[in-house]
Amino acid sequence: MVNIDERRILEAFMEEVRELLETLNQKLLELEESPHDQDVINEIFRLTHSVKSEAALVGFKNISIIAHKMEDIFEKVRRNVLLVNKGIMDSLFSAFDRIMHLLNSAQNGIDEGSIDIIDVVNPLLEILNEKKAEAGSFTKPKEEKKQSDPNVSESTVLAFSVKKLDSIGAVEFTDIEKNQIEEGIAKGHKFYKVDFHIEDECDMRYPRAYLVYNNFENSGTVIKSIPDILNETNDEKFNSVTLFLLTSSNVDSLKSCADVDQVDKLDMYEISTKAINDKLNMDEAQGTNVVSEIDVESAEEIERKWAEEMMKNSSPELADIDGTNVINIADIKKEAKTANEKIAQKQTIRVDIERLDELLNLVGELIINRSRFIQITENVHENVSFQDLKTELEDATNELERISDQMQMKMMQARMVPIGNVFSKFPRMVRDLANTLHKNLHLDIIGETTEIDRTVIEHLADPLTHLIRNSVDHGVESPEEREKKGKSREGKILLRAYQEGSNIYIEVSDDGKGIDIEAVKAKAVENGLVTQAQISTLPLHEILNFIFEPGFSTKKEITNVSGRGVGMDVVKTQLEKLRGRIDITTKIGEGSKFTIVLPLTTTIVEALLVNVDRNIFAIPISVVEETLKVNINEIKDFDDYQIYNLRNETLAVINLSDLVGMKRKVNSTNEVFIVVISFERRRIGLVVNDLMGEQDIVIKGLDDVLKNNEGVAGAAVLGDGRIALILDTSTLVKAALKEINKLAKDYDVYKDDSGITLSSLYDSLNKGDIKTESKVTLAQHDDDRSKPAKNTPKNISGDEALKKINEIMNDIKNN
Amino acid sequence: MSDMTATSSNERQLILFTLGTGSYGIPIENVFEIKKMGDITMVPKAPKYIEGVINLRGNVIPVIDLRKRFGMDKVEYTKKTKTIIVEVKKRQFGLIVDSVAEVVTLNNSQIEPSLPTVSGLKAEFINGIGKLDEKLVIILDITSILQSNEEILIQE
Repeated sequence: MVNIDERRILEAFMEEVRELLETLNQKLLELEESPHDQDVINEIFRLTHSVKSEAALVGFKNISIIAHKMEDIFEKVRRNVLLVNKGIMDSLFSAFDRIMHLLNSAQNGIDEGSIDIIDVVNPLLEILNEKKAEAGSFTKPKEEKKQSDPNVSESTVLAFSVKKLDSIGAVEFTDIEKNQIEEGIAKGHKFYKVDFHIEDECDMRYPRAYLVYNNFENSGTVIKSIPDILNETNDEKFNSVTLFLLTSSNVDSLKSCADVDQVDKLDMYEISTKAINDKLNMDEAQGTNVVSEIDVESAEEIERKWAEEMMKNSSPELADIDGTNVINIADIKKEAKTANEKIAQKQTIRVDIERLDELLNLVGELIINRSRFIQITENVHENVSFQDLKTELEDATNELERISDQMQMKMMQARMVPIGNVFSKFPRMVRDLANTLHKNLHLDIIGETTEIDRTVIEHLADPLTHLIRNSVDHGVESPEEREKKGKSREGKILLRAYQEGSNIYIEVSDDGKGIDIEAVKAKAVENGLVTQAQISTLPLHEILNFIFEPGFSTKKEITNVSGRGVGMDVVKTQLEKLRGRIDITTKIGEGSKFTIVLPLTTTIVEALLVNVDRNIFAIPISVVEETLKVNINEIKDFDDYQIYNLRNETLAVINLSDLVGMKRKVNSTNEVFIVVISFERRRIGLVVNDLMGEQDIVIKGLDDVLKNNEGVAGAAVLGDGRIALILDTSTLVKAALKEINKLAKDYDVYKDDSGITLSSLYDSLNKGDIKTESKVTLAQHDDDRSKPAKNTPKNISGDEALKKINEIMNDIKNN
Repeated sequence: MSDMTATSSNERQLILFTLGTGSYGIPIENVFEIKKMGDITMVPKAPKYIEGVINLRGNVIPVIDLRKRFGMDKVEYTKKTKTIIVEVKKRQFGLIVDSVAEVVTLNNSQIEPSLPTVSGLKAEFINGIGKLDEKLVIILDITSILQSNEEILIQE
């Protein structure tokens, strides 16, 4: 088992590296835009370096290797020896993706070392080697690498020798370097001193020295270089270079490391164990070494010390709290692997310390408030006058209200994260998609600092991905097409987030071809979602809503990006789960805009509490349009549901008790309440026994056994301890409307003399479109519904429509 | 809270309760607390053996009527009717039982593997049959009962 401390270290690593990688991704994209930006290049170099060392620290070998190679490339870019082009960027991106993949695998308990990385590392190596050829081309014509004969280079004959060395001399090693040496020796590696010399006439000595250094680094570990090749770049200083190398490679293969143009002399010295010990102990005797008594035989001991040293030197946060318990990181990884345990993706959040302090202040106030209440309780026993008690109690309660309101707000804020966390992955996605689809695209992002609840943000990534993908694939035309239409070749997609009131708006808009309404209509009829006759009466937004039906796609050919008709329905259900909605606006030839509307937080909701019999239900206030107190006789019974004439508009009304499957109970006064709720611009009335007022409620999830319960979104505990069930209004209303539509369909074959079908009447009624003065378009169906409507649609008034329904209903009842 | 399988000693502590004429036991490790009957909020369209939800110190947890779960006749709740709050795999449930008797400690030698004919329950829902003096106690495997959607019937 992996213990908790070790786990924490890995978790900390994962989090850290993920953050690094996120920035790296962003910077890579920036680099592609402006390949000469030195700041960006330096930043990338720093990031790759950090990823490399972080990964190496916890023993993620493959991640470290890839990052190392990326670092090497940027080291060259940084010195202007290499210029990035599209090919290099592609290789870098695939390398980056592989690191992500390795990281995810590791998180899922798969050994990242077991995953092949050759295919992404090789292109990186090629880039590095090309560079080598280029460097050579300064002095001679560019030629392919010649490695067949390591002894003979084109222009130089490499003098080579290997000797034993019994004393290292006056070189100083740092503690970390010493530990590295000890560790290497313990593992059976040999320690070499390598001297090489670059031709005096050569004018590019540093790059050559670096190549040699890099080759050695690839076949071992270079402990130290003199001059320091990582910090010194002045050509003048790289005439003779000394490297200290730990390696298990044989001498012959090491020799080839120096096979670099214009390196003319290579001397290798194998340093004896005695010389090493002398060196290490001598320094210790001088009191500069913190490592005590080294027993070279004991590999374990050294590893432990190494780990200890690493903690002290590089990662203070990894040290155990009391500092006595040393954690061996190499072992952690091993154990994590053997246990093959998934490192639980703990949900963590970074909170501004100021926000926490504010919260703490409020807790302080709360405690003071508590003592006021205690005082009041004491006063009750001490016969304090009722009036005084009352005043005091009111005061204290007001204060408590203020404190708890503020705490709620601060707590909500603490859960907020900038939406940019989700947005950040899209530039890369758009870039890759545009490449695949041969489109010219620019993604603009506005409002990435908009804050949104943590739980919401996690579920936003998928819907947004779908929408953006759709815009790239279906929305924006190919450059040629755009040119023909007189638009700029480059398509634009805008991703914008902003807050308004207690809602967050996220827009995905493009300047593409827009949605073809006629195609949507045709498809909707073809899929049997609506009849030909009905569709002509539907308002635009309802037609556009068909896009969110499962299996709906107007795209004729299927691309590998999108167009299979899956996705948009998922987008909608996902957003509904977050209690959000999505609107579309579109103009043919000019583009489309998808607007997601989400509540600020999902855990606290303002709700209207209603009573049905003895049960309390909570209806989110956001869907409530108004409430009415009516006499039960004003509600016209209409078979399974009812209608109410609301200011001359027909409102379909449903008993909440019917919806939730309870018995209807009539109040003795014959008075009931109607809660008018709107849903996708449709309105429906819920009949309840009583209203209990508005209240902020904290949503509690229900246990899994109740999860499948349609219509109930959760529960809330009220102030008096009672439980209110929170209604999932969208599901309820959908179910209700389906019920009504089913009813309508049953009667649909019924045809009266005037040729009006009930289904079209009901539809108009549901939408509340029928007004007394307004005209309604009605169409007639034959029994065979596949045929188009027989008569021309004709207009009747809402009053007539209602009358008609009553007539028909009476007919049906009498038959 | 530890799983019932984690009991290492050769003794087991059980909470005894009755349903009709039967005596049943639940390992004490699974029992969180025992409550008097309070307000139960009915949940529409829930599985029929779920009586509703209750407020347990701010958490909303489902309550199962064990009589209904085992297909027994419904009886009026009395003062003796109790809700046993159990915790299984980090999920809390309330179980309504006729009455709660006592806590007993049974030696493993007093526990026999399930005999379906005695208990009237499938073996998978039983952890064993305990012998207490002359009385037989059916030790319920609460985890599998809560996780199963199958109809469980007990002949009284």
